Amino acid sequence: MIRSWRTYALIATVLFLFGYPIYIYTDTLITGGITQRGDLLVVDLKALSSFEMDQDTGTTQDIPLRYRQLDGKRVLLVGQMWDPYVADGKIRIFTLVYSISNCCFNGPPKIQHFIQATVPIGKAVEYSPDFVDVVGTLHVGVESAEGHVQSVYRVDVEKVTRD
Amino acid sequence: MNYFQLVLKQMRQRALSTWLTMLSVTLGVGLAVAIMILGRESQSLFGQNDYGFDAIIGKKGSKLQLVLNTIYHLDVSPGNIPYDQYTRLQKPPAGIPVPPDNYYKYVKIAEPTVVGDTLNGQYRIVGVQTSFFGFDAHGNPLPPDDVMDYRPGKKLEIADGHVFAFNKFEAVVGSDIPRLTGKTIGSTFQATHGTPIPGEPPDIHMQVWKVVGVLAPTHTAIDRVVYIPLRSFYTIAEHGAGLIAQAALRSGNAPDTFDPDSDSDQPHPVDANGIQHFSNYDLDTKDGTIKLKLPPEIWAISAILVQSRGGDTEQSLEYDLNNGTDVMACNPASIMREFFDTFLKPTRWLLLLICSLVTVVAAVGILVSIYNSVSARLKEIAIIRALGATRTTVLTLICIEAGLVALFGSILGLLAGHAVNALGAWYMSRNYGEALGYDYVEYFFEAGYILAVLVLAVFAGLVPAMKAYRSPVATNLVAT
Repeated sequence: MIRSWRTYALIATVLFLFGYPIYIYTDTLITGGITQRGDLLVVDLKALSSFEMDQDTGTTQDIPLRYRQLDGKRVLLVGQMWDPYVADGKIRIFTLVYSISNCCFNGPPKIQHFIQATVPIGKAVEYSPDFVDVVGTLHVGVESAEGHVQSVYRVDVEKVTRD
Repeated sequence: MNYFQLVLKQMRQRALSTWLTMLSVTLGVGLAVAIMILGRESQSLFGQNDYGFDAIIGKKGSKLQLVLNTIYHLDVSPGNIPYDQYTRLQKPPAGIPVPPDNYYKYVKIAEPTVVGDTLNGQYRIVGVQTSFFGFDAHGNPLPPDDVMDYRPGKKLEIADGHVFAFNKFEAVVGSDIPRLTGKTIGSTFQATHGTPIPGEPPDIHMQVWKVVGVLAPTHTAIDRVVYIPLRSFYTIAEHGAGLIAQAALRSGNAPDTFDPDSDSDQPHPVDANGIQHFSNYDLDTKDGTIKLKLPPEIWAISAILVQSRGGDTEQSLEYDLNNGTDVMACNPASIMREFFDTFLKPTRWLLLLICSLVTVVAAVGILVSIYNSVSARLKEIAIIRALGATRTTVLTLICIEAGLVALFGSILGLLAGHAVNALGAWYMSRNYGEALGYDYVEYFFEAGYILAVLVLAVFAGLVPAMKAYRSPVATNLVAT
C-alpha cells in the first residue's frame, strides 16, 4: 500500500513537472494566450508579442490575426512598467512589457514587445517595479515614422494595480 | 503666583541642572534638525527625477557618472566623444542615402553639450547650441515639437534678455547665477579651466563672454549653469590644442606639441579688415563674430541629450551604440531609479531612525533630570501640598516644567541645527559650488518634529509627576 502511495506521488510529481509546462504551451497555442475573465479579455503579454516582424518595414498584416482582432477590446494585461522619462513618483505614459529582465532590454529590442500605455490626463499612476495588472482598451496596428516601426500595441489605461 | 511663575522659579533654583538638561535637549534637537536639513537638501540636490529626454550618449564608462555630470552637473565628465557622433543622429541632407551608422530613425531631437570650464571655479560652464533654448542659429524661435524638454512638458525659457548668437562670445545664465555671482545682463566674465581645488591658482582663459540672457527658474541644476555657444568653447587655445591632439591620436598619429598658452603670450594684432587673428579662430572686431579655424571633424563634445521617437527606439539606440566600440548610451531615468533605490531611499530611512532615537534620548534626559529633581524636592512638594495645592496642581507643575525645558531646548536646538548646516553650506559652496539651503524652516518636518519633542517631553515628565502625585504629604513633611 505504502509503495503504491509513493508510486502515485512520484507519478503526480513527474506529471506536474512535465505536464504543467506542456499544458501551458498547448493552452497558449490553442488560445493564443487570450482567455475570458468576466467582461475582460486576459491577454498573455508574452504570447501577444511572440511573433516575428521586420522592425523597419513591418505592417499591420504581419500581426497575427487573433491579435489584430483584439483592437478596441477591453483587456487585462499583466507585466512590468518601464518609464524612460521618470525615475521616481507618478507617471502618465509608460511602456508595459511581459518581463524587464527577459523580454527586450538585453537583446535586440523588438517593437512588438513594447505596449505603449497612456493614462488619462489627471489620472497619473504610481510607478511600481513589481508586476502590475493593467486594465484598459487595447489598440492594435503598426505605426511607422522615418523608416522604422514606432508602435504596434497601445493601451488606454483605466486602472493599474499591483499583481 | 501663577503656574508658570512657580515653574520658572523652580527652574531658576536648580539653574545648573535645568541648563544641563536643556543643553542635552538642545544638542539632541540640533542634531536631529541638522540631519533633517541634510536629508532634505541631499534629496533636493537630486530633486529632478523626471527628464525631457530619454537617452544620454557619452564616452564609454560609468553610466551613473555620465548622468550625474550631464544632468546634475556633478562629478567630472567621463570624457569626450567626436562631434560626428552627433551628426550621426541627424537626418542626412536630401538626396544623400542614409548611411548604415545613421540613427536618425530612432532620434527625434538631439542636443550636444560640452563641459570643462567653470565660472569662478564653481559654476559649470556648458557649451550648447541655440536650439537648446528653442531658437535656430539666427535667433528665430523653433517649432515647439523641435525643442527638447528639460522635464516632461517643460521647455527652457529666457526670462530676461535674449538667446546668445551661435558665433559670438555671449552667454545665457541659469536663474540662480545673477544672485550667486552678480553676473546679470551686460556683465562679462572669463572662464576658469576645470574646477580648481582650494588653494590652487585658477587657470583663467583669456576669452571674455558677455551675459545676454537669464533663464527662467527650472528648480533643477540648470539654474546654476552658465551656457555659452558650442563654437565659442573651441576658441579657447587649450581646448583647441586638446582637440587637435585627440584627432591625431584617433587617426593613429602622434599628437603635435603645442603650447596652449601661446594665445595669451602673444599679441593679436587687428588687420586692415578689422579681423583679429588667434590660434583657433578669427574675431571680427566690428561685430564680435567668431570664425572658428578648427573643422567640425575634430570637434569633440561631452555628451548628447536625445529624445527618441518613442516605442522601442530608445532601447534600439542603446542596443546599437552600446554594442559598438565608440560611445555608449543610457536611459537617465533607469540609471537614477537604480541610484535612488540603492542610495537615497535607504539613507532616508536611516536618517529617520536616527532622528527618532535622538528624540527618545532627549526625552529620557528630561525624564531622568526631573525625576532626580522631584526625588530631591519631595519635602518642598509636600509643603506646597500642605499650603493647599492639589495633587493635580503638582502633576501639572512638573509637566509644565518638562514642557518648558523641552521648548527652550528645542528652540536653541533649531538654531543650532541651522547654524551647523550654515557652516556646511559655506563649506559646500566654497569647495563644490553646491550650497545647502539651511536658511529656511520646513514647517511640516522641523516644526512637526519640535511639536513631537514637546509632546514626548510632557509625557516623559509624567513619570516624575506621578511620583510627586503619589508622594505622601505627612511622611515627606517630617522627613529630614
